[in-house]
Amino acid sequence: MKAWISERISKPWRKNKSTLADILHPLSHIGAAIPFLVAIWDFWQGNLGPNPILEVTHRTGKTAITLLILSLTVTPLRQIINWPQINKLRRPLGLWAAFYAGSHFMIYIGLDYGFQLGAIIANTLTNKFILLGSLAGIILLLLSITSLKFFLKKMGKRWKQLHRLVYVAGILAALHFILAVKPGVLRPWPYAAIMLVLLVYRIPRVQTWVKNTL
Amino acid sequence: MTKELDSQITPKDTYLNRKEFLKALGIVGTSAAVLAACQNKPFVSGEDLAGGDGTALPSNGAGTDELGDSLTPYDDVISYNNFYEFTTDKQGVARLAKNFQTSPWEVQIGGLVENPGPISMDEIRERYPIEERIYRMRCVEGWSMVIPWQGFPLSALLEDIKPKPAAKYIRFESIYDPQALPGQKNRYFPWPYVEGLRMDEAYHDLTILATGIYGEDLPPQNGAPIRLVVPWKYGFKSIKSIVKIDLVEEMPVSLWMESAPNEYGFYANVNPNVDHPRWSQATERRIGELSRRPTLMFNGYEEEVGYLYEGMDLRENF
Repeated sequence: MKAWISERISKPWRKNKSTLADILHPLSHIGAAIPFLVAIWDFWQGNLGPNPILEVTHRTGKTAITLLILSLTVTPLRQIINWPQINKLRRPLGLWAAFYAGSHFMIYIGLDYGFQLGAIIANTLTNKFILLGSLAGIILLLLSITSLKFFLKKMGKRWKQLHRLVYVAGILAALHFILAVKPGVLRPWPYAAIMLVLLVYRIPRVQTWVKNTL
Repeated sequence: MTKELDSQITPKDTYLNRKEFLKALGIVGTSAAVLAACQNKPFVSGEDLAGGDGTALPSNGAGTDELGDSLTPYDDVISYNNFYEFTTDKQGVARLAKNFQTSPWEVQIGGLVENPGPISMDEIRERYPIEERIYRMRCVEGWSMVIPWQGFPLSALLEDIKPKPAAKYIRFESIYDPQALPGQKNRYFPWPYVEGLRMDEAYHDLTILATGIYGEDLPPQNGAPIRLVVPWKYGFKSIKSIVKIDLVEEMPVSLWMESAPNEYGFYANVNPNVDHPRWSQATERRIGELSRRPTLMFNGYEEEVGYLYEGMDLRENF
């Protein structure tokens, strides 16, 4: 009874929300592609500053963690404002996060280190933050591959379990950012704080509490 | 000892020409960048500067350091700065520092010296003849530049202020003024910036107090009006905008030693064999180049300064 009423009442809303989600879906692809296109344009125009490789490394890294954060925002948003249609943004946002993480990694090994394997391995072992970042990247790659419908069908329940690894990727990505800068540099902290909030929301008791409070 | 390094004085008009020239190169360098990316070749290599097309080049001798590496373009030197007193964003320093007042300016001399007291920038300019030094500068973060400094040996100042025999170290302090230097509102760092040298390092002929780059007064973002330059140490040792110099008995604790003692030591000599706890120091990116180059022991000044550290464990004294 209650559910029926709420469905009836919210129906016009749901229709609008559905339309909005349908618009947001292609927009998420366009929006996520923009930083990449801008970076290519800036490279072409020489707008990347005195240290262009570091600049594109930073840009792709920041975009990757931003998109990861956005993809992790979908579920809380869906639940809190009761907007199931927004769920379709989760996959493009996650895939684009993986795309930028991959670009970030390729810039590091290809542009920065010129594919010199010895130097890359030595540097990766010295730099614990690169190790953490690489693990986050591997997780995102794995999740991207298994995001295909084929795996979703085939893996059944285990798919969901596997895709919970995105929380680990989120923690690793935030730590990677924090450890990459000198102590006292505050740039990573807003990202880390938002990531923390989104991950804390995943704790079942917290989720129940949020639902009951709202 | 440092024949090539000393007195490579270039007239200012040559500099200005060179500035234009480097600006032009900057444009050329950009379009070449895409090609260079495939060839893993620097944007602007030494050969490019030598003028393959036979055009007359400004000041051929002083266009490179003593190892033959080209000067870093002026625009890069003044727009890519680590100066946390303004911001931790290297490309944001120049804008925030634009209106920083560096005149009048005084440096307080104190501690274990015969002649303490304030000395104004005007006096400094009058008293010490300026010479040019083309030095490599290696940042602890793994990038480097080649910069033509104007300045004078720190030893010249030391001769005037006469350290007492008890003095074992020299301690420098930067300006502290959070209103003018907004980065100093970041309470994580124990401002003001402090650095120090051992006396033999301070007296070394390579150690200079710089007042200019590229034939011009130092821009604020590069540490105006007076800064230290110690080319065989990581860039953070070369303290900027100095207001205080003390001769002391105890080893000074620098801002970075206090902030992160396991990461930054007193000596901070450039050393490809001793890694930063969080990253390798084996290679560096010269600003303007695409591929990394190996980092040289003591930043390539081993012959000149190696004796200062004989018998010392450089891993221990990082």
